[in-house]
Parts: sequence; structure tokens; C-alpha cells
Amino acid sequence: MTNKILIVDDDPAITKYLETLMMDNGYATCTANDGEQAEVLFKQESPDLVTLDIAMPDEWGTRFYRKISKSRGFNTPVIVISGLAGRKFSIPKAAAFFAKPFDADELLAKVKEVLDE
Amino acid sequence: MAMKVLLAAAEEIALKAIKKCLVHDGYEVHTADNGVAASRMVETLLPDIVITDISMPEIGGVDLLRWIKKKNSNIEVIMITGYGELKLAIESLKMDAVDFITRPVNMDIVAIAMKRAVDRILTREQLALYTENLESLVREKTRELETSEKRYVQLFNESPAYISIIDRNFRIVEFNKQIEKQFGNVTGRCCYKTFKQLDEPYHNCPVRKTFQDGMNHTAEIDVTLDDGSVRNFFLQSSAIADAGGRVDHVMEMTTDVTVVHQLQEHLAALGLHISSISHGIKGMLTGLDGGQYLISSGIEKKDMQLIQDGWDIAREKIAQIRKMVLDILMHSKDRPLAREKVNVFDFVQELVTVMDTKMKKNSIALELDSLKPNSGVVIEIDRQVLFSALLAILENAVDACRAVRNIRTRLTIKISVELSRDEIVFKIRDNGKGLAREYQEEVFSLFYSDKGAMGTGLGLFIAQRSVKKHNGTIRVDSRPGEFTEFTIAVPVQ
Repeated sequence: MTNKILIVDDDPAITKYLETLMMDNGYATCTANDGEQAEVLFKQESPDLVTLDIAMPDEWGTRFYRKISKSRGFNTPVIVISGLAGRKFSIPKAAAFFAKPFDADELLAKVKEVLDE
Repeated sequence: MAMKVLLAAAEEIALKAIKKCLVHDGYEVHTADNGVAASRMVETLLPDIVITDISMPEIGGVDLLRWIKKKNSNIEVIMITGYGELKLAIESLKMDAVDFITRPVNMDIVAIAMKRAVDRILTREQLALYTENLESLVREKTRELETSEKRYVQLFNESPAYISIIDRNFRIVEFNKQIEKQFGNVTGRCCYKTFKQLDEPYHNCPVRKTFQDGMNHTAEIDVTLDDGSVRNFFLQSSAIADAGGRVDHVMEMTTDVTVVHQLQEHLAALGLHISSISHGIKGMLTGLDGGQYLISSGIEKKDMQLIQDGWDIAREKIAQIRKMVLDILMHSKDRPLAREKVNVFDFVQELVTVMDTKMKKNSIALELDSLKPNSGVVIEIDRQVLFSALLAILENAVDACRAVRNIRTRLTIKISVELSRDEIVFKIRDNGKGLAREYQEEVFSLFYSDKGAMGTGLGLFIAQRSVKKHNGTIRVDSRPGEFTEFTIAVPVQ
């Protein structure tokens, strides 16, 4: 079964990039440009993995993470992809942390690893 | 110099004997054989000591003594008395004769009397000298005191700080020139009323605290001056105690630290700035990577739409990077304005042309209420600087519209331009997402951005600076979910 990835970033250029990258590598995707949209998609689509930006205008990625991590039986791996320097904003339980600009091959390798393929 | 002695006696033998003895002791001795001659010689000789016989014809010794003491009380007089003249001798002492010698004259007794007279003279001279020294000392100290007082007053007055002395009722009892220059004669007026237009001392007032605990206190306050400008002041208060140690006055020193504040703000802004810039750049580079990836993925799949999407992203990111670099360049150097005459109508037209594509792409309608093409209104501005400022505001308006999710909203940006007296007023109003009231001030002053990865917090800061450099004003009015309106007024000249 194809793994589904929820891509969250406020910059549409970046969600488009990640969406194409993941699709080209055989993943199903859904994208959200803010926290609210992401929350809806998370419930609707039950993704196997989330890539999450931290600094977003309406809701920070950390807050979105807190919300979804409270849902029953939550064990979806989250890969943080952020431009913020320092680990202050990172999510301790994240599966991986990528700083922007990231290396596409490294990211793909990590996704593969996390999804245990 | 030897002391002068006048010896007055009718009796020749006595005269000679005494004279011989005195000369031997080193005195300059003159003699007179009667009272009249003696008195004349007192006037011409000015002797230090007179030795006079009590009984002389015409003017007797006692009369001579009286006359001498009246004439010059510093001349010491020794009386020579005969047997049975004790009464006269005592009278002489009452009239300030230094001593008396009884006849027959014993030279040892003369020497004792002389010593007493000389002692008296020396003591008096020392006293005079001492008094004189004392007087000159007092004069010197007084002069020093005057100088230091003058210097103190000068310091007090010429100090660049605002200094005032305040009593327990918060009334100003003394103040320096700086205060007078700014507030006029404020004697007896309340400090809080005069300096802060308040009806009572404010909560954090350092003067009040010093009255309470006698310690030094500081505070920073903002004061709005008559011309409407706001300045930052640093206040220091220190106690002035009376002789009993009770704080009866407080000295308040206030320094204008507006420039320091501006610098601080600037530095703080710069710190924030650098982190927001680096965050922005990272996002843009990731976007560029994305564009590049989409293009190569599109080429591989022969997917023209994907290539187009990739190219659009790349173009958008390149434009963002370009704008950011230009902003940084403009901000990093405080360039003087290069003013030129600019036709307002053309200026606005160009602005609209530049924004046109971006607005159409985002389905935002433009309403333009500009001057007439032939109005010929010209302003003297740095075209590039003001153009960038207005462009930044327009781009913010577009972003505010893009953030609206309700697809039924007819997104509109309205640009209106009018000539109001000697100012050109530009208004840029959008019906985008709006700004909460608490952020309306922050929009300019604190590298604030509510656009996440899309914003750097630079645009409006620079816009405000540019307008201010033109002696213009910029303000924002907004209601969340309804509209945002920027009003920029720039003097024609």
C-alpha cells in the first residue's frame, strides 16, 4: 500500500516542491498551508508521515503538533523542516529535523527510513 | 630698628643718668626738660615710649600723659614719681600709664618698667599682625567661596541636563537654564504638573521615592513636547538633607536620552532583523530548490504545466531575494535623499503598472482615484526611495488580500491621491485580512511580520523611514477582517 504524507508549510512554493518530490518517489500526498487546514487533513486523511514547518503565520507548527499528538493512539512520525535556527522551536519527539534549505536526497532517505520501507 | 624713647624731666641729673642707661640698652633716646617741649617732640618724633616726670612746670607729667593717650594710645608712658606722689602715680596707671618709677631712680627698676612697656608694644604689634592675617585669611576664604559658588551656579546653569530642586510639596524651588529654556520660569510650580501635565505625582516618580527613603532613584519617562514630538528622558533623583539629616529637598536631574534610545532600538531591530532575514533567505532558497526540482521533474515527464509551475516559483523566489537584497542595501546605508522634481500623476501611474501583474494574478481589483493627467502637480522627492516605500505598502496590501480565505470576498486595493494644501496625500486601502489594533503600531517600529516565511519584517520599516526622511508622515488604520488603510502624506517641497 502506498504511504501517504501530509506536507505542512505556509509557503505554497515549498508545499508544491515537496508534493512533487514525494509523488515522483511513489508517495501519496496531501498539502496544507496553515495549521487549521493541516488539522482537518490530518483527521481526514490519516497520513503515515507528516513533514512540518515551524514558523507559520496563523499557527506555529509546534502548536499543531501538540494538538495532533493528543489524539488517541497517536504514533504518526513527524519530520520537521524549518528555516529557524536552533533547536528551541523544534519538536523533541520529531523523527527528524531538517534545516532549510534541505537536501532532497537526504530527506527522501530519511522518509524511507522512518516509514520502515 | 631701635625703639625711640622720649625722656622728659626738669631734673638734669636724673635725665642724664637714665639716658645713659637706656642708650646702653640700645634705645634711641631723646630728651626734653619741660612738658611743653616734650609734647612738641611727641608730635615730631613719634616716640614708642615716653618716660616723664610727674612734676614739671607748666605742663605736668599727668597732663602730658592724658594728652599723649588722647593723641596716640599706642605710645607707652612711664611716670617718674617723687615721694608722696603715690596718689598721682595711681591716677596715672588708671590713665593707662604702663608703670611708674619712684625717685630716687633705681636703674634696675627703670629696666623693669621699660621691659613692661616694650612687652606691651610687642604684644600689641603681634595682635595687630595676627588680626591683619586673620582678616586677609577671611578675605581669601570669602573670595574662594564666592568663586566656588559662582562655579557651582555656572555648573548648575550650563549643565546640559535639566536640573531642579523640589521641596516636599513637589514644588520647584530652584531650576537651571535648561529648564527655563524649555518651560520658562517655573518657580513654585508643581513638578509633575509642569513636566508631565499630571494632577499628582505618578506611580513610579523617583522624587517621591527619594523623599520616602532618602536614597537615589532613577526612572525613564517619555515626554510629549509642545511640538508633538515624543522624547525619552532619564531621571535621577537625590536627597538634599537639612542640618538635622531630614530630607527636605530633592534634586532631580533629567537627561534627554532620545538619541540613545533610537540607537538601542536600532540595534535591537538589527538583531531581530538579521534573524528574520536569515530565516527569510532560507525559505527563499528552499523555494528556489523547489522551482528547480519542478522544472527538471517536468522536463523528465514532459509535463509543461509542471515546468511552468516550477518556473513561476523560481521567478517569485528570485524576485523576493532581489527585493530583500535591495532592501538591505537601502537600509544598511543612510544615504542622503537625491531629490528631483517628479510629476505625481506619472509617479502613481508607474506604481500601478508595476503592481498590475501581481494584482491580476491574485484576482485583486484596483480602484484608482488619482490626480488628473494634466493636473501638473509636481513634488520634489527622492523618486527611488519613495517609490520603494509605496511599493512595499502595496505589496503588503496584496499579501493581506491573499490571506483572505473567503472566496466570495471581492478583493480590492484602492489607491487615492490628493493634493491637500502643501502636501500630497497617498492612501492605500485594501479589504484584506486587516490588523489587530495592538499590532498597528508594531507594523512600523519593530520588524514585525505576520507573514511567516513570506515576510522579513523589513518592508514597512524602510517605508516608514523613507517617508520620514521626506519630512512626511505615515500612519495605519485597520480593522481585522475588514480593511487596512495606510495614509502617507509628503510635503510638496
